[in-house]
Amino acid sequence: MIDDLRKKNRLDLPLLFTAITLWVMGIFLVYSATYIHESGPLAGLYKQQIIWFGMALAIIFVIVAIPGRWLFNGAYIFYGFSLLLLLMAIVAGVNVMGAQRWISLGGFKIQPSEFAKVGLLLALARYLSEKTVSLNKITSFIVPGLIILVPFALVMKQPDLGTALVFCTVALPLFYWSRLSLLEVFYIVSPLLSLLLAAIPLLLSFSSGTSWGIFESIPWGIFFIIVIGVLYITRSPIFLWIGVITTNIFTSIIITVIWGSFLRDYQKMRIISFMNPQLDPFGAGYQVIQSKVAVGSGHIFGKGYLQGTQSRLSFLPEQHTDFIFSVLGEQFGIVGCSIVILLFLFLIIRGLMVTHNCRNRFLNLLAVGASAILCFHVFVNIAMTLGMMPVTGLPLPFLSYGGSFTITVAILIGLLLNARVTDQDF
Amino acid sequence: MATGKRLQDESHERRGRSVIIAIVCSLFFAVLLVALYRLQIRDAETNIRLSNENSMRESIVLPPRGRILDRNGLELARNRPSYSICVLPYKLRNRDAVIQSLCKIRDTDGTAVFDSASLAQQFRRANSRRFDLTRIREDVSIELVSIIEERYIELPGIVVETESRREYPYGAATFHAVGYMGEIPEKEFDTLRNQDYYWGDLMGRAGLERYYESVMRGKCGREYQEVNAFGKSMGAVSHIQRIEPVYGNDLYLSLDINLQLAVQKAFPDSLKGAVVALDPRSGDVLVMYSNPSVDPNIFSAATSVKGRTWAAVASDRNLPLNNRAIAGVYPPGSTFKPLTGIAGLSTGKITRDTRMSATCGGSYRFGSRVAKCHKPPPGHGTTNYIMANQWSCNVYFYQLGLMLDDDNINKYARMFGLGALTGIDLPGERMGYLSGEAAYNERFANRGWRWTRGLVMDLAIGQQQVLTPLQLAVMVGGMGNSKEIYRPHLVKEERNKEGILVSQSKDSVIGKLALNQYTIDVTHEALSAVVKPGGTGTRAAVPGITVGGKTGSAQNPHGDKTHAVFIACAPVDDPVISVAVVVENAGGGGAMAAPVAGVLLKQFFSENESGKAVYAKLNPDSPPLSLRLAQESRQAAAWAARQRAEQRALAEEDAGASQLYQGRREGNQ
Repeated sequence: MIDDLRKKNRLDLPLLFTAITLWVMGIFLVYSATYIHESGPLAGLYKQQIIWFGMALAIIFVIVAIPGRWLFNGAYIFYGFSLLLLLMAIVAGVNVMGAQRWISLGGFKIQPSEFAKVGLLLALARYLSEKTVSLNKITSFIVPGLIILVPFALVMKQPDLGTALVFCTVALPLFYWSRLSLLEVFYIVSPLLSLLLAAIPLLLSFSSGTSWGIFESIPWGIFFIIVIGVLYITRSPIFLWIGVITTNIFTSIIITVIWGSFLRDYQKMRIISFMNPQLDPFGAGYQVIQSKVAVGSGHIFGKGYLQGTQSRLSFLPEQHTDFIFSVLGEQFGIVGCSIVILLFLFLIIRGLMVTHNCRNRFLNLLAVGASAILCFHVFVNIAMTLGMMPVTGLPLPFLSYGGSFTITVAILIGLLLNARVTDQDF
Repeated sequence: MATGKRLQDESHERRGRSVIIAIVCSLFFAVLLVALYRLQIRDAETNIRLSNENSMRESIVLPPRGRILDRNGLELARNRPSYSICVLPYKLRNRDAVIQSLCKIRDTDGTAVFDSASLAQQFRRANSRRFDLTRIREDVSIELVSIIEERYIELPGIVVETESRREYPYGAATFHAVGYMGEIPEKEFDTLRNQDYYWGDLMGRAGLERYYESVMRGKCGREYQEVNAFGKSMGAVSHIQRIEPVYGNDLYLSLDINLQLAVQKAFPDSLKGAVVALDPRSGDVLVMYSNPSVDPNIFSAATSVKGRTWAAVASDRNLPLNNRAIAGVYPPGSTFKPLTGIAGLSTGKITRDTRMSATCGGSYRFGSRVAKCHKPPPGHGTTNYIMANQWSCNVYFYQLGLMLDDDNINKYARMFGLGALTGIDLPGERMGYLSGEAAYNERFANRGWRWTRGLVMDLAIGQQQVLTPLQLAVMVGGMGNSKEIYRPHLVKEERNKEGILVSQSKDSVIGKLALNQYTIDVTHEALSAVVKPGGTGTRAAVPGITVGGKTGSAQNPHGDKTHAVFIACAPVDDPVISVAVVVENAGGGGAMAAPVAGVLLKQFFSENESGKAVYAKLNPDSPPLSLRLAQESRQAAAWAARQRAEQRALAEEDAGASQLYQGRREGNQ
């Protein structure tokens, strides 16, 4: 009976159609964002995106056809290959806007960091499918830590903070899938939260020009008490107490010291303008302000397709790539935005649901990781477009223009579909 | 299958963990939806406004300014197209090539129009606003424009822009009445910005241009253009209606430019002063001239030219910008005597034949003061009122003044509109000062001067008060008209662009003259006596017309020579024109001011329509005055020629005689 069910759902058509719908929307949005350019590098970009879309479909079917076993066996090889490409980008990369993200391969310009996302996912999934991790056995983190650290360092060298963060965040759900408890996830994330809670009052007091003195540490203090409470209630072992408390104190102290002693005012200003673009409307904040205005002026139903003034009149730089969501927001309003966000959510949940019927740990890990990568991209990109997050340069899956990224997304979708098709023991 | 077993996931764990991950993802997405709500619903209004401001640029469509025309329909101020060479940097492909091509362009006299160094600098500056026109040469000749347009292929990015500039065909002749245009002064901008004015706009700064600014300017139109982030215009915004500009109205003046030009020509070039001529029946201003004058065209010239000339004009010690006709205040001198006379006649203190107790021996003794008459001893002797006027005897009027007192004199002066603004439609009019006990004490309180009765003598001969030439013209018009005083005005009609009458100025009476017929008759007789042979103002006489006038030589603290003043109205008993001429520090009114009035009056009765009509009515059998004057000037020329011939003959006779004499001497040798 289970076999029958499986046969019925050989190919997850809702997931595939959602992906195709989003891609087609993306082509229309890229056209809307660039059609005003009759000549120059932006003219006719949508045609290029149609070609990428075609390639993406082909790649999906190729990956679906590949037996899961091959993926398992080829995981480390692909990982090694993607590291090689990252090295090439650093050694012989093309410098675009101050970052060496591109390499030329046989006339094609490709972005190795995109493929590194897939490489890392495959390698981590393969390793974690055979090993579990636990904070009780801290050595279990050594190998997966190294798997993450190598591409992380290479990407940071470019520098590409956004992609580096993708590597970290994709690891977390994979670790979780490998028997990490929610409590352990909380402990892992707690130093990061400490950092944020210690930093935010500093930023606020600097931008408001007043010193808050001891009150600056109140939010962190409350959080720290909660952490200790959790450690006490769960009767955590002593080494966890020591590890968690030291990392939390360490991050909060180091951020305060760096802020107070090492950063100059102009550097602080740049960080502030990430948070509050209005402070620097013609510098770093320009894009974000224009993007917010574009999305906000869309109101309920938007200005209509091809009717956006913000995007059409080139107020938005990068509107066909990283800021494509603002084109959507301006022309289709909250209705269009919500539909697209719900489509993304459907796609991601559908991707996670692959694991319900798949017993293979490696393929499940791939599905969880692929969903996590997509989710992280969608959230960070849209949050950036809406001015909630600093500009990191992460594109929006399906909608943003770009060859390497489209293919990466296609690979991820392929992996999600593959997990269902090739549910097998190996 | 050992490895296979290791790769198995427990079913309940799969579900549990995937649901947890799904919930975390959903929470993140919920945050996005909340952010969307805040941006697109809560702050939608702000963002829509910001978006519109971002992408729309309001461009102002300035309507053509109304023209100013004289009573014959001749343009005194109009708009001419002006061409500027501009650069549009974003279209400039090869800057150096364009500079080279421009440098090859030569003027008609062969000099290069542009030089590469300054062009390169201007192009660099223009580059900061790539989608806007930047002028590189203002107000260029049409020849240069045609050269540039012929070579447009070599000159991408070089554009000829047409704009409208104000032009004054009669230049300096009409400067003070018409005024000039200039940029809005900073301190006025705050109030004007709410009235459709924009920084850098031109507005009338003086004269009619200023007074009728709102009439002639019209109303700005508006057009909304969509612009992109670089400021490049993407065309008009379709869904917002273009607001059409409302054209400025034309002004039709009562001024007669031919009279004005005749006055400009007749006025002594090097002297300062003003001439005003009115129609006393309505207040129409026929002539308003102030010397020295300025060519108002310099104010609308290219910036570089304007800067140079403006500095010279502004620092000129002769104050050429001053409209002396309405803002110059002068002691009227003897021209005030008829008014003192009217006061005397009206109050019954004197009659036509009254002779004063003291005869004129060249001076008059009042208390310890000896006041002089302008004629040195033996003076004018004993005179009646008419003769006193004709000769302008001070001694007669000293005594009349003492009989009348300041209050009586000023009562009649006010009746004639003196001591108050006439209300002419020009900015900057001054009201002068009538003196008198109260006014004098108040005016000179800080100097500690007090009014004494002796000052009435000065008041009676016009040496106490100060009046504008315009007031003098109004006054003398009233003396002739003897019924009403009208508010003088320059503008008769406002017409719109199509020539349809918009509004017409109404003649408004500013003073009723309550004079008895006897006073009127005697005054007319006195005034005409001045211009008749034997009077002081004979040079203002017009054949066939009874001109009434009065000369004045006003002493003043500003120079050793007196101001020459002359007032006249003609025909004296029912005047159609009244004239006031003031020439500063020129000497006697009869010699220096009356001739200007004479030229003006002759021109009026021979060329002006209403003047000709009056002349024909009064001289039904005579040919038109122009012919008569031509005949007279031919006769004068013939007479002069005869004189010269006689002299030559005499000289030849002398020479012949001396030759004869010389011949004799040679013969003797």
